[in-house]
Amino acid sequence: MSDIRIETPDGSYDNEDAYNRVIGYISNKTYFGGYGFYYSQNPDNSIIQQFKLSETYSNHKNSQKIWHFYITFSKRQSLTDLLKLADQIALIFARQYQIVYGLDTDEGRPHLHFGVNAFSYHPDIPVLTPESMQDYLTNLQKELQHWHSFKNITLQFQGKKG
Amino acid sequence: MKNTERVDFRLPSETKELLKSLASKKGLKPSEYIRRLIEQDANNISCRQQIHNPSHEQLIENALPINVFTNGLLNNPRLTLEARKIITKEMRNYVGY
Repeated sequence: MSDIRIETPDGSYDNEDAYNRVIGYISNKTYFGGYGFYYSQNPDNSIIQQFKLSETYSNHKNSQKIWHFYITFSKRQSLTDLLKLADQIALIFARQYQIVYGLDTDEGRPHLHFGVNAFSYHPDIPVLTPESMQDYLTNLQKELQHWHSFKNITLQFQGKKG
Repeated sequence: MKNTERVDFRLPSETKELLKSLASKKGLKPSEYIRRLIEQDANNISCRQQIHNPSHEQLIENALPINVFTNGLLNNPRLTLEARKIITKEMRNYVGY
């Protein structure tokens, strides 16, 4: 049995509503953080709008707007440790892509959700394609073994086990 | 060498003398002195625009230290979990959902 599972849930992430759905869902978790956004009282500059602006200003095109993945653990972990882990993982993306994370404590076994903008806030940096996202998550799989000595880490990327 | 074009313009005599004097102090011809002044001014305007009208990219880059600060609070073990929930609740005000 896996110590950790990294999974990208099925779903449609290529419509205008994708940012609202994913960021709205993750920000409603018990704890919520992330990188690549500022705090503005102006609704035109909300966090969701800031994610959308990266697509607007990008020099690249892509149908998928945002990536959603989550990490579950076979054993109960402390919430503080999970928040630290979430932060470490978010920092992998933060220099190029906006990311939000949420710690879900509702179902008894805490787990982490991440929403990564497929469009970089640097207009020239390419979008996160399925191939590049899979590379990121495969690297994350390896990093988690180094950071926390979890032995069995399963990656299920768009339905395929890796 | 870049292509150049001729520009004729009139100056009051004293301004023309001042131009010659200032250029000479820098070891430049008057035309070269004026060219540098124009380039410097263009550069200053560009810098001011970046400060007063930052791009989306600049705004996000500028926000990263703030994100480091708030995420640091979220995973600070000295704060109670309840306090960290309050931080999350405050952050939700800015999501726009």
